[in-house]
Amino acid sequence: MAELRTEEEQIEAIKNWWKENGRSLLLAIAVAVAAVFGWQGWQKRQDAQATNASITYQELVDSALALRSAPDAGAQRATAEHLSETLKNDYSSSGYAVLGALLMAKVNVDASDLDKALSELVWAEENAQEPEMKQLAQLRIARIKLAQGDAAAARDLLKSANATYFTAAYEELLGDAFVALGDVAQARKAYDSALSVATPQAKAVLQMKRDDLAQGDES
Amino acid sequence: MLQTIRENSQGIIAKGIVGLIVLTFALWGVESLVSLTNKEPAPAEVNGEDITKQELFQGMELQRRQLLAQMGENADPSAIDENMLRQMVIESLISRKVLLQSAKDMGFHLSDQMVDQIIVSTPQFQVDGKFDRDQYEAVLRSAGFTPLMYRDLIRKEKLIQQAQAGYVLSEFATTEELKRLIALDRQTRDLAYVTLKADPEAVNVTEDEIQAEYDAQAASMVTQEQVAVDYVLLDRAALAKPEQVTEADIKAAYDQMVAGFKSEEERSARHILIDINSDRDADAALRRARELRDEIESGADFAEVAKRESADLGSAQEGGELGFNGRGVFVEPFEDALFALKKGEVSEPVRTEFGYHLIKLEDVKETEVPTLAEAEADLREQVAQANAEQDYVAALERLSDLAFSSNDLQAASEELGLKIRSTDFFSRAGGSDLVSTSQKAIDAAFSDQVLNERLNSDPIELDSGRTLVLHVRDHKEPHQLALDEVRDRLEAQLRGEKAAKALNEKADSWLAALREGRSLADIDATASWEIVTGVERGAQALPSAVVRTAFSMPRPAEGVARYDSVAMNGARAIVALNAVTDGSDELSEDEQKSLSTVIANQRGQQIYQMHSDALRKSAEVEIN
Repeated sequence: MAELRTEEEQIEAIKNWWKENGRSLLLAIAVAVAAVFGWQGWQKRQDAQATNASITYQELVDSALALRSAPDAGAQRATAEHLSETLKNDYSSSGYAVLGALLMAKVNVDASDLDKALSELVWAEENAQEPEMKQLAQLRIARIKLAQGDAAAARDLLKSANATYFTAAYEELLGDAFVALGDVAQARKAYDSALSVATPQAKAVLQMKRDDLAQGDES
Repeated sequence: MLQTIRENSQGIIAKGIVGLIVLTFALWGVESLVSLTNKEPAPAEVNGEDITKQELFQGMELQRRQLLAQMGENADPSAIDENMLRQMVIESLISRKVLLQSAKDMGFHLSDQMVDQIIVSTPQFQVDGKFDRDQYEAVLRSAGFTPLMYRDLIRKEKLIQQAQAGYVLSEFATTEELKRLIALDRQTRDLAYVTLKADPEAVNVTEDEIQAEYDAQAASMVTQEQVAVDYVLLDRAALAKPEQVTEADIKAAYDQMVAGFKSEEERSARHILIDINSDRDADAALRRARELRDEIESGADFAEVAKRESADLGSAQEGGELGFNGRGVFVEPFEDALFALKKGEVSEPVRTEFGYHLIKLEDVKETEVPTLAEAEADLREQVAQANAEQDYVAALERLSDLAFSSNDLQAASEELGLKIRSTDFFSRAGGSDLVSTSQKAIDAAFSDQVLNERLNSDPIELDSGRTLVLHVRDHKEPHQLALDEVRDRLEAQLRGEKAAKALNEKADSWLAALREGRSLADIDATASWEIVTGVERGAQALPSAVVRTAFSMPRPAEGVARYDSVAMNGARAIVALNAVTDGSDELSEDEQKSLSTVIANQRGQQIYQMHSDALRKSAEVEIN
């Protein structure tokens, strides 16, 4: 047992152990230190990335706000365009990029460029991570299609989306599409199911649309 | 013994135990031991993340302050239901938490520098347009935050805001959608209506029916327990003797007043209130306020507009006139806006709890120190009141003794010179006199001591200057009401029911006849249509039930009216829809721009609401 040895024997034992294991021990420590620093560095880079994306996004929001009160400002729109491109190119995996594309779709609708708006929404739909975000993009794609006069495409898109989020908005838009297609009975059905799930704030407009399609009870 | 410990500690088992302890600490740290002793659960858990006690406490504190501020001067902290407050705050903390989690899941991030930037540019923390650390810390302290807590709060709020901006701001309205909405909104309808009224006098109610109704309701027809009391009232105001105040006292009070006098500014203003109600949400009210402001800016007379539009009926008649007022009279946002105005200027819309206000500053005056002669009457009263305070406190103490030591109010009345007064009978629900409108007095009157033992009550403080002691004079037990006592009421009730039924039958038969093609004159020669053409959705001149019904009816075929009926407060209207005229979908560029902003914003709010509802619904929440 160890406690029976003399001091010299103990030192000798340690020396031997060091000769055998010293190199691998040092290596292990070096690897550990490198791993910690590497992890920290990576973390820092991630943070810096996220911070840059956040700042860019915030600027885009401010720009969109400015455009809302003055939608014709060409220079402002170019700025927004540039910011959104930066988000898409450099931070495409972040939620900021998708929301940025949605914002740009709005900017383009306000500038009456429906084609450009559509392509922004399609990008958002393809790059969104969460199903909710995808469905929001799809909903807005259908609205653009309807605005472009392609009610049938809007209807098919809405039906095939099998939306689990924003169902009231989906049903309302489906009603709008049926109205455009002249199918009053289907439109009525869609508005009714929208009314059954809509928030109180959304109901006023919905009720107005539904009432306009009222059917005579005695006819 | 030490030797044995030393030897044992080197054994294999001892080393094993020490090794285990080392491992535990290495892997789980000190918390593993601390948490064993501190097992109290967090108030709520949201998707595996705790809402801490501290968060809940802070939230409740903040909410409490807001509630008290809303209650105004007579705020009573005990009126706040703690349980309800707690539930409300937990629910809102959960909503914030899921929104925050969702923002983080989307990869949202805010660096320390960004938080700094936000804090530095907050106007409340600035002095002369520059960030001021002392100001910052003072504001935080008065709001009950430490800098660390505040930073954390800002970070969370901003992350949530970023996501919110994405959802709300990205919503749009296409030209086609706007055109459809505006055409629907501008649609007008030609209609006619006739109102049938219920006539309770025209129906028969027999004695048998009244008896049957009495039998059916007998159980609920019981009077409440009532008492009538005698009381003596000690009133500080009555103790004041202004005529006994000396000239010297008045002079002293005047000197004191002059020393403490600060000239105070008073401002005379007019205002227009655009209220927020079920027909008009905050956005619509704000829009209306802006329109009115533009109208005034372009030359309309403020007073005329106030008369026409203001929802503050008290001042509307006077052209919105509010007279001269100092600070502390109006609610804070209103006051701030009023005191920031220049003479003759009209404010931007100001939001208060009542709605949006437009304020016009008419005149400003500084009040000056009144002369001794002017102030004398007031000062005499003040000094007398202050002197009365001492007498009041002394009398109060005596009243308390006398009430306790005697069986009736006689002694207190004689010694303190207080008249014994009496009340009528009142129940626990209270009545209309001084005693029965005070909950404290009612409770005392029905207490065991006063009601059953017939002792005097303890002194009851009605307010800071009035105290009374009461004694029960008479008591009525609850009793069953006889048929005679309630006959009239039951008859009126039965008449009402029968008349309503008759009315419905009549309306239904008229409706059926009209739908068969008969004319109204043919059905009843005395009835005639009220005919209105071009009715808009928001028409004010007609009963709103009639308008609503007309707009929910199907479009009539050419020349063939549609008929429907609607209940209206003891009456029924039969509505004939003659024609529908679709509204024009023409929009000027300006109209389109402002409408699209409003509609897009509304839709954005709705979409965001759906987003946060969905998050809340799918979250795993545990409330402890």
